[in-house]
Amino acid sequence: MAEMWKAAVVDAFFRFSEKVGRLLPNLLAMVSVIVLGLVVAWALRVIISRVLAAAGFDNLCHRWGFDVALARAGLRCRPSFWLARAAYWVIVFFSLIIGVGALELEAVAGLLSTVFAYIPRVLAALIIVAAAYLVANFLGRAVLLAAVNAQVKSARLVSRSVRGFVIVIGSTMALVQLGIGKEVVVAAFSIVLGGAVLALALAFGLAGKDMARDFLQRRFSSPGERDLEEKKDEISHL
Amino acid sequence: MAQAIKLDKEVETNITKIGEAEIVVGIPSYNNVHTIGHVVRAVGAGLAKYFGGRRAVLVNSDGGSADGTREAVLAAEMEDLEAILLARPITDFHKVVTAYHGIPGKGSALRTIFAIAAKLNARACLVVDADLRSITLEWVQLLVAPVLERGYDFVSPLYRRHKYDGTITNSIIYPLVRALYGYRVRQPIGGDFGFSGRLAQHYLSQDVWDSEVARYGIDVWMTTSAVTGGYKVCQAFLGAKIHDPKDPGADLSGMLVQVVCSLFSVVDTTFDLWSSVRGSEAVPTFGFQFEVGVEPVFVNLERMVNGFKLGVKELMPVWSKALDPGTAEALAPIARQGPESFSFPEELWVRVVYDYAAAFHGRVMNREHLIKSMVPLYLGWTASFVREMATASPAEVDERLERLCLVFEAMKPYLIEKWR
Repeated sequence: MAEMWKAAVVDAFFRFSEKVGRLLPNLLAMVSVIVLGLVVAWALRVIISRVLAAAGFDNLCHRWGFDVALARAGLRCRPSFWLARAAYWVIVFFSLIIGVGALELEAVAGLLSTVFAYIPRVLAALIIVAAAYLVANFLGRAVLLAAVNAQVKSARLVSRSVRGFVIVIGSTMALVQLGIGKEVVVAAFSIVLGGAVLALALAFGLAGKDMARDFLQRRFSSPGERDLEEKKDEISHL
Repeated sequence: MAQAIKLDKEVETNITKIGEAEIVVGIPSYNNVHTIGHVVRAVGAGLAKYFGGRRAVLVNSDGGSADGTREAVLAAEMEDLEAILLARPITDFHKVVTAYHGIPGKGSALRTIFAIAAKLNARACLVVDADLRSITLEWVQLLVAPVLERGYDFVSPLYRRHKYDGTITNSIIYPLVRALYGYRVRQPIGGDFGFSGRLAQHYLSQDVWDSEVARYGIDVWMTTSAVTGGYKVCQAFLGAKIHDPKDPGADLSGMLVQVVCSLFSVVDTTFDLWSSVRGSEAVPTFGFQFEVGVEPVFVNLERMVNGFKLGVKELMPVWSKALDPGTAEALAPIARQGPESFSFPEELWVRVVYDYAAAFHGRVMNREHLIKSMVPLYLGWTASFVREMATASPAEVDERLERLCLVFEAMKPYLIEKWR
């Protein structure tokens, strides 16, 4: 009996040390990968920051209005700083993923493949958001300039509406790309857009019918009739 | 180097038959059936009177007119030359009528004319607008003789205009060309020019035909290219320029974009040349100068002032990217003035133009947007100018513009500093 007890205890310790012996190298590998990842991430952050500064990346972002967008979000440092920071955390994230993968745990393996499969969607969503922001700024400014030069008094409202519309479309597309509540997002967007169009139609149709009549009269009346209302310049500018 | 231009087969055949010509007269056109016949007859009579015996070719470069413009050119006859000239002239005059290819606009039309002039080995070329009503026989002599007989390469027109007309020319183009390049070419966007065959070849070799130069920008580009290329430049007084009334305020922002973008593009690439020029000199002027009566011009001052005020209210975030902070700050007080006392200081206007030139060079934003944002500022300056010159004589207006040009010249170091 005593012998059996002794054998069971030794066996348990032996099995435990075997498991520890198998796990220890993997644990060491995980720690090494994470530490290496941190070092690489730090070095990459420094390199990216310097290269972007030398290449005038911050000026380009200023021209495209990204620095304004970052400032509105409370991120006051230069865009090159944030990009370098983002690169740092991406490397750290991947180091953690790879490090955890080194443990060779079955539960983790499935999670890892899901994460890797999702990364392209995240990248696509980021590109969509950035492109939507650029297009919104460009179109918003084009509309603002056209409206001001045509002396439309609500120029800024029209410009902001166009800008907002493009950003909403871009955000919706990004959310659909990420697969976050896809059906809800599409339905909500359709309802809001349809509702806005209906409201505008009712507003113009009912409240603005006199204005619409005046606009059409001005648009399709003869030049002589038009000139009586607002005499145009006869200057030849060139 | 520009891509070679392809001419229609029929035109190539026609040119080969003609062989060579001393003078090529180009008339770009688009739906000008009511006026082009008169222009063709005036040109033909002018060539017969002043350059009889020299082979001349008239080239009509048309943009796809649907009103019979090309047929009007071919049909224009000079059977009454003896009545006009009181003598039987010797003429060696041919016509080539062709459609042009490329971006719709005068620039593409002129490119075709340059190409034909080059193939015909022309010594002198002349370009006139198709809607001219005030063209005389003397225009042909004044724009061609300096090239053929005095060795000039470029003859710019000099017109007598209403004091309010040509405000883009008077406020931006002329003072800027004068201050930067040192030549007082009074009307660099005249529209009617004389130039040598070798200058035509130079124009043809430039790679600008897909840009704003191909539209409204061709005139200012031709002038600045002649000036910056070291060609011999002069002016010829032509009297009044009367042409078909167009809708004068039509698409001001489009006009401004094309003309100012063309000029700024040349300025952008010639910094080494203009940064070392100091002061300016007059260019030789041919032709007997006389006064002409001009029709009164209505100006809606309130609309211009309102345009400027709307710009100050809505475009400050855009202007802050183009203008110096000091320049932008000085605009708000002006917007508080009413039309009856509205005044835009000339030093401020010069700073605006120079800030925009530097912003164009620095590509602070899309260039078309940049120049479009200048429209309210231009309206503000024009409104101020119109109000101040309401009771001024033409001589007083000329003095005022001369003062503006001197301010442009004096503030040139400001532009050079911003450029660097």
